[in-house]
Amino acid sequence: MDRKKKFIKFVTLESPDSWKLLYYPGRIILLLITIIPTVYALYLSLHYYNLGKLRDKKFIFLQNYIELFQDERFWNSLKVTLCFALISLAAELILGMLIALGLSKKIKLKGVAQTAILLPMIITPVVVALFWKMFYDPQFGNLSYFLSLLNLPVPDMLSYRNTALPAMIIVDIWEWTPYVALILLSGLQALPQEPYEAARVDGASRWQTFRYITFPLMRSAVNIAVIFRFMDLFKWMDTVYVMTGGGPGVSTETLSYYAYMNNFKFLDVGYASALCIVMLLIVMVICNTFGKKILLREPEGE
Amino acid sequence: MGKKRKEQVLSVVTNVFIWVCAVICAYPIYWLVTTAFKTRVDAFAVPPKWIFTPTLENIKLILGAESFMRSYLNSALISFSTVFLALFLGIPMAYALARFPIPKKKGIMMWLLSTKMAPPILVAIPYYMIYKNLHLQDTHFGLIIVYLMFNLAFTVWMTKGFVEGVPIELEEAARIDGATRLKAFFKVDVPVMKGGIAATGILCFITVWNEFLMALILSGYRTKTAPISITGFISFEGIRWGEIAAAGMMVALPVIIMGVLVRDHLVSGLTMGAVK
Amino acid sequence: MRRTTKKALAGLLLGSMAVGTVIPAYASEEKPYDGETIRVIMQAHTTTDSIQELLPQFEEMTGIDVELEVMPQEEMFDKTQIALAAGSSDYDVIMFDLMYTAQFADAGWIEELGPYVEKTGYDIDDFMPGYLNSLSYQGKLYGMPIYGESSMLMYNTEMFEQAGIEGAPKTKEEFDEAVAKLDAAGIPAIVYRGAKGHGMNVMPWTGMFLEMGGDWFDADGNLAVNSEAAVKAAEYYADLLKNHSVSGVESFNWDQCQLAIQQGKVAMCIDATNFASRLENPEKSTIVGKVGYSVIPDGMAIGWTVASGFAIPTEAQHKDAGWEFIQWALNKDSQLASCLNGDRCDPTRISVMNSDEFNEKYNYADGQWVATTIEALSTCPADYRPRIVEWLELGDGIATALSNVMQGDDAQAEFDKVQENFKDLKYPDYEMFNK
Repeated sequence: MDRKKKFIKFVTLESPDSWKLLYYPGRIILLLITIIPTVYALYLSLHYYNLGKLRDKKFIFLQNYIELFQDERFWNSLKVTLCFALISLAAELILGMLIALGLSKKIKLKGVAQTAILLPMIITPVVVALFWKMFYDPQFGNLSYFLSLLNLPVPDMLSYRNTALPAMIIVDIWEWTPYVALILLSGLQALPQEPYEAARVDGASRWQTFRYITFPLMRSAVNIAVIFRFMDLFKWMDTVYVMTGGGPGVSTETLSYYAYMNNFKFLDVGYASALCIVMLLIVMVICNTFGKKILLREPEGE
Repeated sequence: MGKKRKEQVLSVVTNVFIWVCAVICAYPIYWLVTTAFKTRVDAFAVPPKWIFTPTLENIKLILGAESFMRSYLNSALISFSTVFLALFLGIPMAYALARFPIPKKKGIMMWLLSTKMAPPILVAIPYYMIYKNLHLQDTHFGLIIVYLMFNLAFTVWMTKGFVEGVPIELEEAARIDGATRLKAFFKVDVPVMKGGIAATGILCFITVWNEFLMALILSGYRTKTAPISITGFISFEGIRWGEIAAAGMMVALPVIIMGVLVRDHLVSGLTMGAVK
Repeated sequence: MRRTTKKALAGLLLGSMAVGTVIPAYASEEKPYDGETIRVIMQAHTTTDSIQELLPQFEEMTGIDVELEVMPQEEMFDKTQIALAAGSSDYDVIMFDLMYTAQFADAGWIEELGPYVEKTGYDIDDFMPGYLNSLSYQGKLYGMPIYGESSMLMYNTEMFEQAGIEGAPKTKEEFDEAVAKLDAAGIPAIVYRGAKGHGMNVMPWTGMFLEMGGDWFDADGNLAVNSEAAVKAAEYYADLLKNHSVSGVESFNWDQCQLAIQQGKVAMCIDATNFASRLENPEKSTIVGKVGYSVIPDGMAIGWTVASGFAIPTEAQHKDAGWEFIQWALNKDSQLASCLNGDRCDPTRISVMNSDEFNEKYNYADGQWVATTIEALSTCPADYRPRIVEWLELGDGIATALSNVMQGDDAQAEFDKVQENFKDLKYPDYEMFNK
C-alpha cells in the first residue's frame, strides 16, 4: 500500500525524486546517441584504419595525431578555417551592428524589411550555395552583369587562390549577418533607458552615447553572437562542398572538408577521426575559456 | 533647425541602408522564383532577361518527378518525427532542470551545449558503421536518431528558459487547489509556454529540413531527403538550372513560411535561448 | 553507300563483328527471381532516365522489384565507395567509373562477371572491346559498360572563318597557329576542364603529359610524375587556359566547358565525344550546325577512352537478380531506345553504334562526328590514367599541383612535391606508354 502511494507520488511529480523520471529517459538516450559515436571515433583515431586496406588495420596509439601535426595540408586547412572564421565573424559583427541599430529606428514598412533580412539564414543552405555558384559565374552569372553595368571588370572570384576564399566569406556574410543582427537587435531592445536619459542631460554626442553606453551594455549580446557564430564557422563545410571542392589548390579547404576527403575519398577513417577529435577539442577549449560564464547565465537568486 | 535637419538626413540614410540590405537578402529568392519560370535559353541569357514569357515546364517537371516528391515527403516525415521526439523527451528534461534541485546542473548544461560544438563529420563514419551492423541504413528511424542528437540538447536549452519564465507561484497556487504537480504542469505551465514550444519545434524543423551532410551519407532510395534530391538535377547533361530553381523554391518554401511564423523566437532559438 | 563503308570501318576498328541476333536473356517463361527486391544506384544521366522509364516493363517481366537510387556523379562515387568499403549489403547493383576498377576489384569488393556471362550466355561480344577492357582487371571482367566516351576536338566553324582558319588543325603546329589567329581576332581560343579534380584538370594534362613523352612510372616501376614532360605539359596547359581561354576557366568542370562552346563563347573545346548531342540540340545550343569535329591534333595531346559500368558488390544479397537487371538494362533495344529518345550518343554496343537509326539521328556535321568518334575510340587508350589502387589520392595530389600551377606557382616545385608525397608507390608491372 505504502509502495503504491510512493509510486503515485513519484509519477505525479510530487516526490523530490521525481526529476529522475523526467530527466533520465532523455538523458540516457542523448548519452547513447552522442557518446557511442564519439567513443567510436576515438577508437578509430587510435588505429591505422583505412577502409581500402583493412588487411593492414592495427592499433597505432597516437600515430595518427603525430602524423596530423606534421601534415602540411592539415595546417593549411586550419589556417583556412581560422582565416575564414575570423574575417567572417568580424565583418558580420560590424555589419550586423549597423543593421541592428538601423532596425531599432523608424523604418518604412519595417515588418517587410525585417522579414526580407531574415531570409538568408533560413533558406536551405544547398540552395544558397547553388545560387551563389551561379551568381559568381563569369559567363552567365548576375554578378558580372551587375558589375559590367558599372563599367567594372568582370571578376572571376572562384577561380583564383586570392579571391576564392574572400568569395566564400562574402557568401557567409550574406547568409549569417542577419543572424548576428537579430541577436544584437534583441540585445538593443533589452537595454535599460535610464543611462540614455542621463547622457542626453549631459549633452553627450551620438558617438559618445554609443561608445560609452550602448556598446558596454551590449557586450553580452556581442559575446553570444561571437560564440555561436564561431562554433558554426569552425565546422563549416556545406558551401565548400557545393561551390569549390576545396580549390583552387587547397585555398578553400577547411578542416571539415579535409576530414570529409579523408573519410570518403581516401577512406582513411582513422586519420579523419583523429582530425575531427582535434577539431572538437579546439572548439571545446575555446568555448570553455571564453563562453562558459556567458552561456551559463543563471537566473538571479539561484 | 540644424539639428532637426541632421536628424532627417540620418533617418533617410538609415532607411536607405536597411532597404538596400533587405533587397540584397531577398534577391536570391527573386532569382529562384524567376529562374524557375524561365526556359533554359532564357535562364542563361546575358544580360539577364527581366521580362520574359514564363513557362510552367520546370514546375511541371518537378511536380511530376516521382523521386523528388517522394523525397519531399521523406523530409516532412523525418522532420516532424524528430520534432515530436525532441519535444517529448526534451520538455520533461527541461522542466526537471528548471524546477528540481539536480546535482551538477552547470556541468549538465555545458555537456548539452557541447553536442552543438561537435562537427557533424566527426560522427558521420561512426554512425555509418554502426548503422551498417544494425541494418539501420536507409531507414527513417536511423536519420531521426541522428537528427535527435543534433536537436535534443537544443530543445532542452530553449524550453528550460521558457519554464523558468513561468512564475512558480502560479504552479503553487494550482497545487494548493489540490492539483498534483503533473496536473499543474499541464494546466499552468503548458498554456503559458505554448508559443515558445511551438517556436522551438519549428526551429528544430528548420534545421532538420535543411540538413545536408548526414542525409547525403545515411539516406538512400527509401529515405532520400529534399536537399539531397536537389543535387540530383546536377546531371550528366549539365546543371539543369530551371529544375534546380523550381526544386529549390519548393524546398525553401516551407522553411520560409515557418521562419516568418517564428520570427520573434528565431534569435533565442538559434542561440539556444542565451539571448532572450 | 557512305554509311555502309563506315559501318564496316567501325567493325574493323572496334574488333569483333558479332552483329548476330541478340539473344534475350529472359526468354524463359518462368520467373526465377519473382518477388525479390534489388537496390540499384546510378548516376543522373540520360541512360538512367530511360532505364527508369522502362523499369515497369522489367518488373512485370521478371517479378523483380527495383529500387533505383539516382545521384549526381561525385556524390554517387562517394556513396558507393564507402558502401563497398564498409562491406555494406545496401546495393545489389552499382554503377562505377573505370578509375575504380582496379581498386574495387583488387579489394574484392565487386564480383567477377565472367561466370555470370557464361552461365546466361549473354552476348558480350557485341560490346566494344575497349570498354570491356577498361572495366577489367588482370584479365578478368568486373563491369558491364553502360556508356563510354572518347575525346575529340570540337570547334566553332563560324569563329574559325572569322579568324581566317581553314579546317581543323591536324598537328600541334597548326593548333598553335590557330590559337594565334584566334587571339588576333579577339576570340577566346579554347576551353579545357580547369577545376581541381582527378577527373577534371588532370584529364587534359594527362593527354599532354603522355604525348610529350612522359609516363606515370619509370622502367623500374617507380612513380615519375616530376619528369620534364610533366612540367612542360603543366606549363603548356596553364598557358592555354590563362592566356587563350575564357575567364573563369580555372574552375570549369566539363559541364561549364560544354556550356561555353554550346553558347558560342569560345572557338574550340577538347573534351568528351558525347558533348555533340548537346551541342547539336536546338533547344539548348546556339551553335547548331556550326560545329566541326576532328581528332585531337597530333603532337599536342593524346585522348582518353573512358567507360562507366554496372558491377555487382560481393556483399550483395540478390546477385542473380541483379545480373538479370544488368542484362536487361544493357540490351540492344533499351540502349537504342535511350539513344533515340534522349540526347545520348555514347552507347556501348557495336550493333547500336552501327544501326541505321543511330547513324541517322547522330549524323552531325555530315557524318564527321561519327567518323571522328570511331577513330578516337580506336586510338585513345583506356589506361590513360594509371588504373591503380591509390589513384584517388595520387589524382588528388596532381589535381592540387596543377591547380597551383595555374595560379602561378612553379610547376617543377609543385610536381616535385607530389613525387615526394607518393614516393613509395611502386608498380614494376606497369606497362609503359612511351617505350
